[in-house]
Amino acid sequence: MGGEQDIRNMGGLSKKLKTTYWTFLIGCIAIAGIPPLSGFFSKDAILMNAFANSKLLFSIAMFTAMLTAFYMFRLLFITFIGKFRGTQEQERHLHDSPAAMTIPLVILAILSIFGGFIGVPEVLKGNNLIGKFLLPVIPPAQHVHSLSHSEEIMWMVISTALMLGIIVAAWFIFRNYKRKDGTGFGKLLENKWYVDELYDKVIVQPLYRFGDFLKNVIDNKVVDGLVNGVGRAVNYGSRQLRLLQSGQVGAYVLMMIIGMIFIFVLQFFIRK
Amino acid sequence: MEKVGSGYADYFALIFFILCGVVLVSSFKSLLILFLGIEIISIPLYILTGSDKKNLRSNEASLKYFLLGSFSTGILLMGIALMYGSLGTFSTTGVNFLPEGTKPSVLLVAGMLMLFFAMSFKVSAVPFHFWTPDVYDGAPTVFTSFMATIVKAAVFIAFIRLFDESFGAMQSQWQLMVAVIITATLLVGNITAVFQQSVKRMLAYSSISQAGFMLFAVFAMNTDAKEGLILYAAAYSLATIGIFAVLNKLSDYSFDGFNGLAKEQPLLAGTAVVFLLSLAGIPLTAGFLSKFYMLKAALATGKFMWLVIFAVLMAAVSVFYYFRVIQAMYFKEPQKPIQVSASASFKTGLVIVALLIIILGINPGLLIRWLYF
Amino acid sequence: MIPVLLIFIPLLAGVLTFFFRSEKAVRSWSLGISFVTMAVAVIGVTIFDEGSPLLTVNTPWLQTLGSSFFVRLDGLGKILTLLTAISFPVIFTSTWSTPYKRSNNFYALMLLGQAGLMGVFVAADALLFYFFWELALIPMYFIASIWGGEKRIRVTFKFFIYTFIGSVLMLIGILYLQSKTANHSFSIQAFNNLQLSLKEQSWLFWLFFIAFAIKMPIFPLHTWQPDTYEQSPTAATMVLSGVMVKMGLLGIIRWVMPVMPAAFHSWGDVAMSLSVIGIVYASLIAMRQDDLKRLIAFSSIAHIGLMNMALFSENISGVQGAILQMFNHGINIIGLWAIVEIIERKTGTRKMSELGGLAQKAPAMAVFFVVIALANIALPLTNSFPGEFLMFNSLLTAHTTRLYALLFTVFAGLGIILGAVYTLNMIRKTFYGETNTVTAGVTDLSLNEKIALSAVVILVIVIGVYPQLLLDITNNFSEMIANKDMFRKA
Repeated sequence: MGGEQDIRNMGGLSKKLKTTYWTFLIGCIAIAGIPPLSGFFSKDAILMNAFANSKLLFSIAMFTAMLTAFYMFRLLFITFIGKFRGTQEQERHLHDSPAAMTIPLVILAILSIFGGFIGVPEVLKGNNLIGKFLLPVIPPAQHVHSLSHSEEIMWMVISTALMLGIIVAAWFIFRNYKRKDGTGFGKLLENKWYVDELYDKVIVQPLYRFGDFLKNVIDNKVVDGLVNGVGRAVNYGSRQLRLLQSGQVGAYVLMMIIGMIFIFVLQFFIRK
Repeated sequence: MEKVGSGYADYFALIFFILCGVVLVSSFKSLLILFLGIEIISIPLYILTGSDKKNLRSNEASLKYFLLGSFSTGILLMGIALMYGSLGTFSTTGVNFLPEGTKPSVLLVAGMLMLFFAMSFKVSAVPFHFWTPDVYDGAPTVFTSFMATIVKAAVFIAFIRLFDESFGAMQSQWQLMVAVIITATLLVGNITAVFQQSVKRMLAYSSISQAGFMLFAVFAMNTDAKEGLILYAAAYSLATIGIFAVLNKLSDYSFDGFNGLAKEQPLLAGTAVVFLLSLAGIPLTAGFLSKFYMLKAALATGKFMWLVIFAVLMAAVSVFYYFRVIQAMYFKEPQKPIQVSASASFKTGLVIVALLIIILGINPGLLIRWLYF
Repeated sequence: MIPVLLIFIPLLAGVLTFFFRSEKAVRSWSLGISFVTMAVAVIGVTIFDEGSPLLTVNTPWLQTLGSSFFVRLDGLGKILTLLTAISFPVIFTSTWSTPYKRSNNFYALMLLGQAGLMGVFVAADALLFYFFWELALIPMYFIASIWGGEKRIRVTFKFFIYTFIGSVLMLIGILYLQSKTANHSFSIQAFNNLQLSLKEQSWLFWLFFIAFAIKMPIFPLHTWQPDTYEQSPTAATMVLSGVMVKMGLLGIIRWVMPVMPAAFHSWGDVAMSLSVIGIVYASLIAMRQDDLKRLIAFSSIAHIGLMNMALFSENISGVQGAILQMFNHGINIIGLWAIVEIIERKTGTRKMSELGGLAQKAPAMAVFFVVIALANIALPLTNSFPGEFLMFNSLLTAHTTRLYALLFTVFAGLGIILGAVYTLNMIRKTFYGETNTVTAGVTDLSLNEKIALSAVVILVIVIGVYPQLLLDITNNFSEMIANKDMFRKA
């Protein structure tokens, strides 16, 4: 795609980028948590534990999991389905990545299909290898409310059904995606809640200004100014003291006598 | 010396007179001999200062030196008279200046102060230094270097002998006074030198500030001080003779006159660096060790810590003006081509002096052992 | 024997170098000598028997003064002589193609500077230490003033006066300590055995600390440093920042910690506050620099400040971490300067705003730079990581003895984060983005530059993966320093 990363300028890539499309699809299904791909097992483990401990946490986790499924498939559909929305020039150059990139993709896709089987929960007659592997480091939690097996299976079915529903919804919404700018809440989301801008305003810019202040004012004027000031004071003193050397013998004698009187006074009247 | 003009023989005669005076002041046992020695040194110097007869500055310097010198002679005599009045003798040894448990008489202390002033004048300590810059600047460079080194060292030896043998018992009386004079000398000498435009004049002020350091020997008056004074006198004389010799070869005595000397005359510049480093008191030169001895001696007295700290800060100021010459020689481009002709023997002499400074800087024992013969 | 060789090989070779005429011969000769010195230093490091006569030399010298030519390679000395010995070949190789007028003088002064540095690191006699302290400075002053940038004379002179004031104050301290020792000796053992009152220790501490703080430099005595680094020729900057600033830290470890432990403890809070101010202050300024050299200069202030803090936390992991980091910082910053030098030579500018896109034109340089820069912000697996880890560890444990240690640690950590900010910014602005007219014609590294930088990168990674290599060398030494300190406080 020549550096393009904006999915609004893509679409219909499934025809040209076959390997990419398929691996991407597998990845999306896995993330959405459709059994029997790997994402299902990990998500399931988390959700079940959450359910056992707090219904609120479970609801939030469930909701975000649905959101995940939604946006992943939105991404998939916008990018690979529908019509290409980029320039003609770009369209002509569309092709799959070289083998160096597609092979890892394929390997990763295979892993996401079968990877989940190392952690199959007991309820599905699996042998939880991951749990055993981590046992020395993370002791299994002592469940306060344990779930019955029937409940667990029920929730698995429900969540899978919800995910499938979400995916279908996404299909209907995005299969013929047309480019349009977001408004209202959509705009807020499009700009990532403006968190970057907030950081920039609250932290980065003040810090930069403070740095400038230190650099230009404190370091150059105050600290270095003091240092150079010592030098300048010496120079100034030198210019003034030089004037004592007037070249007048009378003045010299006068100053010598003043000096002598000073020492006499010091010697006889001030010193203890 | 060829620059000075006619009358070679006269100059040599005068110089020998001075050397005679030097012998007297460094071995006196009586205040009268001290007075004689100082006068034998001073009078030929007045003449030598004015020996460049066609140069107005030389004449002016000579006259000033003479007037101020007479003034100090008067003070010296006055001091000797007061001493005689209170003690009844001119002898400096074998007299108990301060018997146990007595307070010194005002007459004695006043006499001592007068002697102190007169000696301070001769070593150009502030505020009796006013003649130094004018005279050093006006006198022909050869004689300036003679004055700044041999004469000065001799007077210092007289100074320390007088205060060690005669007034040693009264140390508590004059230590504060010496400290005040040292402070003033270091301050005025160093600070004024910073702004000078002529290297020769800068060296005059530097000689004042070096005198301030040498006064530490009088201040501390212990073994380190005496060893140190010998070393200091040697180090200072060698370095000053060397730098004046280089200066004498140049036509322009200002700092700019030294610009780019390193390219034209690397040997002259190289040895000049050794002399200047020694004057500034950078390690591995005799100048460092002599300053080191002085500070050590002063610290050993355990008093006046602030004075020592002040002295080293002033030493840092002195680096400022000595290094200006190095900067000019090495880091700047000459404004006009430097015409310097230096014979092979002249160069050899410079190298020997520079080597001596370094050897003394690495092994001062060579010189100090002589003190104990 | 070895410490004497470390001093005299570069010293004599340096003096000889003045008489060379051919430029090519001078370069090869200096490089060869620096390799010989490195070989000797490596041999020194591999001798673990501390009583070995190979590591200690003590011959009479200046007996009237109570000083002797006493040099010794202890753990700290080994690390720093090794750093010095490695630095010079790297410097000579990486600046191989930089032309110098009258190059024989340049290389001669460089070697003399190396001799002075070696002397400082091995001296076990205070007067000798002071001698070398000044001797290391003078050649660098000349190099910076003759071959430096436009404002060189003024700037380097300021540097010289600054450090000179510090060193004469230290001289008073040395003299005072000597006058207190039993047999009027300047040796380090005699100093270590002194029992001084807290009042004496306190002002001695400041006499020494000011000298060392100027050298490191610690805020607010740092103002000579960015200017000097900027104006010096890069080879001299490498020596100054890579090796010479370590003189200050060495001074603290060897001459302050064991000699005046009570003052070291009671004034530690002040010293730590200054360091921590310096860290944050320098990092903030570094963030706003456009000139690469100035940026690295300020970053160096921050790093050195952290090492100083670690020392004042008074425990073994602080000393160990600081010593390890002294070595690492030297290696890393020399690598950074080398690349800055190359960039400047190829593009004629050091301003980040004028650079950009160098990674496209010089990928090898970009890789080297990124690795070294990441090491500079102590990414795991680079050499700085174990060092900084140890130092932060020591700071966190110091809260048992120091009231404000936790607060200081938080701010120091902030400095580290800022360090990541400006370093990544520097990489981005210099190497990424679009090329422009300045950077379009840049070519990649030449062979000698690749060799020099590879050496740096290899050290970065080897020490990052296996820091024990260096920590073992200094372990006994640090234990002694830290324990003596503890013992004296009680």
